[in-house]
Amino acid sequence: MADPAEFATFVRVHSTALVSSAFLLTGDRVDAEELVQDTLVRLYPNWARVAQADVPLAYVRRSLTNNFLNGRRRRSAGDVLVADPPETGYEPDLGGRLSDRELVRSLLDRLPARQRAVLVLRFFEELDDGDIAAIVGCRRGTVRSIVSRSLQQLRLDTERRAASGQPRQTNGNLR
Amino acid sequence: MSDERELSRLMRDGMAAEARRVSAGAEFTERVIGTALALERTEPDWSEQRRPGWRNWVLPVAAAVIVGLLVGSVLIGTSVLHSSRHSPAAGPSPTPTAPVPTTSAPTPTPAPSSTGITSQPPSSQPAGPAGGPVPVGFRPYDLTWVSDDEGWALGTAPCSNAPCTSIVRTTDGGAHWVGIPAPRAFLAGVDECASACDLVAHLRFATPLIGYAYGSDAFYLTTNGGTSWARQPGFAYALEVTGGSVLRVTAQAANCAPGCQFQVQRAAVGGTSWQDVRLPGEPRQVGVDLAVNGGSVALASYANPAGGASNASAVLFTSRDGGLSWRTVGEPCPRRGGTEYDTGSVTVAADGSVSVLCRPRGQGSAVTLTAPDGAHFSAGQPLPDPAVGGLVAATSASGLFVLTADRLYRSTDGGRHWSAVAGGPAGGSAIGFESATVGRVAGGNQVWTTTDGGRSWHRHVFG
Repeated sequence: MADPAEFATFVRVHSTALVSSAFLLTGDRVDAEELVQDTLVRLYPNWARVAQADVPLAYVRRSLTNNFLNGRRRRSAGDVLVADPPETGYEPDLGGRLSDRELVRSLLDRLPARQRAVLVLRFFEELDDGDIAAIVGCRRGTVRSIVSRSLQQLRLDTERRAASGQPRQTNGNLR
Repeated sequence: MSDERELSRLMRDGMAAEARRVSAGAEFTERVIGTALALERTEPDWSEQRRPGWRNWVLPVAAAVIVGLLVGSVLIGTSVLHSSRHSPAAGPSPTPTAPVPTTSAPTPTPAPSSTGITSQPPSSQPAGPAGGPVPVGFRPYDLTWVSDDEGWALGTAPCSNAPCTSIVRTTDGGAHWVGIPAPRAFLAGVDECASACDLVAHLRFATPLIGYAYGSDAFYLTTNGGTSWARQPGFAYALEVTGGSVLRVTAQAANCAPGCQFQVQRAAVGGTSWQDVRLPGEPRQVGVDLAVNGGSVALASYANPAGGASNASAVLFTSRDGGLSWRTVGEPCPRRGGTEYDTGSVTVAADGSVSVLCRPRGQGSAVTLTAPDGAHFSAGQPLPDPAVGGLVAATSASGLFVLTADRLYRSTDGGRHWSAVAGGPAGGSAIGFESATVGRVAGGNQVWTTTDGGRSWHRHVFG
């Protein structure tokens, strides 16, 4: 039986953290809020199970990621998990005044949903390869490969930025 | 920068900075809490489908749309689909061309005064506006319920300044009603609109606070129980709440003319970001029916590819998981003997069974088909009276109802035998069951309620 007060407290305490995670995944604030709402509304009937988890927030974050991936899978059957970042032909505007934040956002936006999820789980949620593999449904080696190749892509992006002569901005310069 | 550790740090810092750009405001947080609690009350354990039934209001869209479009009926205003709520033989409601006398007050505003109230509100304070008088002469055309007790009726009442669209609310199962604010939109197919008007045809509430009023060229959302309505982009031919989300059927363009395609979309309850839902086939244009009960969903789409009634066809899609995955059932109403039957209405019962009303093309009586598993249909016997119209509703695979222009028929054996319900509704514009026992019919100036699975009915008459 769900405890409304317990649920409400959880939502009030953790909603910003969840929206942040969702924003990294979706790249859009409205989509992020709706992903969080959808996830929490779906979990609430079985909230007792969530509350019994070792770390309820981690449980919800896993559900959030799964919800995101399932939604993307339904929307795009062509979204296949591969180790290589896609050759989209898209060149990020590295000649502009990109901060590290914008550089990372640009990279995330170019990745398919699952690869994006892998990076968010690794670098924002700080999960290990095994946990990430379990959530996104792939092998540990695939996780490592995605992370490695994404870091290579990030290095290329930073090198392009440096070559463009633009100074590296701090992350404190937020819009 | 070639060191992996440094790149990882850049990735972490960049993500952290990106994540700090958003935060969850109090309004969002309380909306999530409210929605979860409200849906759990109205749709408990939907995710495991232990209690699949909470409502299955029939959306009698297709037939009137088909007739309206293809027979070339003269519809008022710019919408060619605005009579979609009314089945041709589904009740004594005004025809699209019948003007509404304009002699009284317009859409009610919330007022604590009970002066002129046809029904007194219950003592407990509901969510949303307190409510005021029910407009004199109110006639309900569509109903929506979030529990056995709390429901709303969309209708119209004579008024001097159009639009006269009105909404009334009950919190005691239909015994008492109060008027609450309605969107500034005309009631499709009922109220006269000279040109370029917003038209709404249906009303659905997902929770006591979150509701939708919509039609083929307008879409309104309330998140405060109807105190205010916000015009949203888009429009909808059908909308239902299932699985903690909202499904709506929209199209390429408003007032979808023959040739355009329907599109199913999904959003969080109260959300404004609609995502396309993939179906294993192409929803036909011209008309749709969307029926929901718990996680069971049925979507019937209709088409007349050659532009004539003789080519009418339908495709039925069903889902057992709240619209996450779908299967194509095809045309459920086959040719029987020498008579072609067309799918005219679809419903989903509390047990997840799907029932379809098949209307004969020409002479004959309608028959029902029922699929307990949502896929494999078996046919019942024709209804006693020749009737080309009607709406189907169901309490289970065996408990079926057909509402025609002047009668309510009931079957307790899956459509093999039918009998007219004595002392029950005599026609109407909407029928549905919130559960296996509680159901409603809207017709004329009345809302009928049953609490025993349709054996007996009692009515509330609006003054």
